[in-house]
Amino acid sequence: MVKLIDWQEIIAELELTAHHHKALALPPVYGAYCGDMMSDVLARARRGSLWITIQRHRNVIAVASLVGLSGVVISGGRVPPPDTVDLAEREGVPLFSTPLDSFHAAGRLYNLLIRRGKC
Amino acid sequence: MLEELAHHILDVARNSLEAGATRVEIVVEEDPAGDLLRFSVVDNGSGIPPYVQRHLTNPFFTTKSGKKVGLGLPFLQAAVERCGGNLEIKSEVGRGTKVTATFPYYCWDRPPLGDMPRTIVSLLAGNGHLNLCYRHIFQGQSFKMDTAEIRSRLKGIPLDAPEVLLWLRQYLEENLDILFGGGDHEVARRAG
Repeated sequence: MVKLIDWQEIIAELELTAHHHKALALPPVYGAYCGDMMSDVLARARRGSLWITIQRHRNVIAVASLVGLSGVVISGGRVPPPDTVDLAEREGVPLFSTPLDSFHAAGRLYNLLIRRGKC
Repeated sequence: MLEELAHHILDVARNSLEAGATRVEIVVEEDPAGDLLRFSVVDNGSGIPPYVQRHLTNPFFTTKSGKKVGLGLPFLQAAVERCGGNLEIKSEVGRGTKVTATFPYYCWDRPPLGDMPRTIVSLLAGNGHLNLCYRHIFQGQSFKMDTAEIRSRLKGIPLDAPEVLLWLRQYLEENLDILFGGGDHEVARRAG
């Protein structure tokens, strides 16, 4: 059985700041996807993945919710606006930001996942 | 980064100012039922000569005189194309330019409209003499702001005085809220 990847590890490794409610239960992460084009993410990201993107408008939460993603990481030191945070809370989508750019965030996550045999 | 259509509108309108426009008209039309979002920026600037018009959406084109063409229009063109929309630029030297971008309303890759009050206020900051007309149509209802009308009520206070701009931003936010909420249109008129 593959060991589940620990959220604390992801949060530390990707230097994440959480924007969702503290009480929100974080779902398991089975993989990851990186992209900024909504239709591409809709078509190609898989349920249970963590999504790294520079987009931060409300549609991000809609896409994450539709696909069933485990969470969203907004990269490049960009912070989600209040309406996005509100929607994430309403939809129960874990929402983070990181000072890392998408390349470095994805690279670090890739390493974490590969150690767990998930990539 | 141009992540909102409001940023694109600001970019296009700044081109108008650089072209010496004294009057700019911005129209935003949202028609969710008709799956349409369209905006246009019309100015009375110097216009774009035909030889430049051919290159407007070419990112590697720049005029040597220092006049900015930049990446603004190529990026807008790309945003429009991602959604199967349409970008039209009509210009006549000595008369002005009209830029119209049309998007499907429901397209995942369409940037959100974003903060229009901020765009309007940013345009006016430092350009207190600009005649700016902003019309926003939502589901057939419309809201209109005309700097000429506001100026006549200011009785000499410059339109781009910080407190006026702060007021204007709030005024626009309130009126757009009313417009989007489908509220009583009369309220919007009275607030002006």
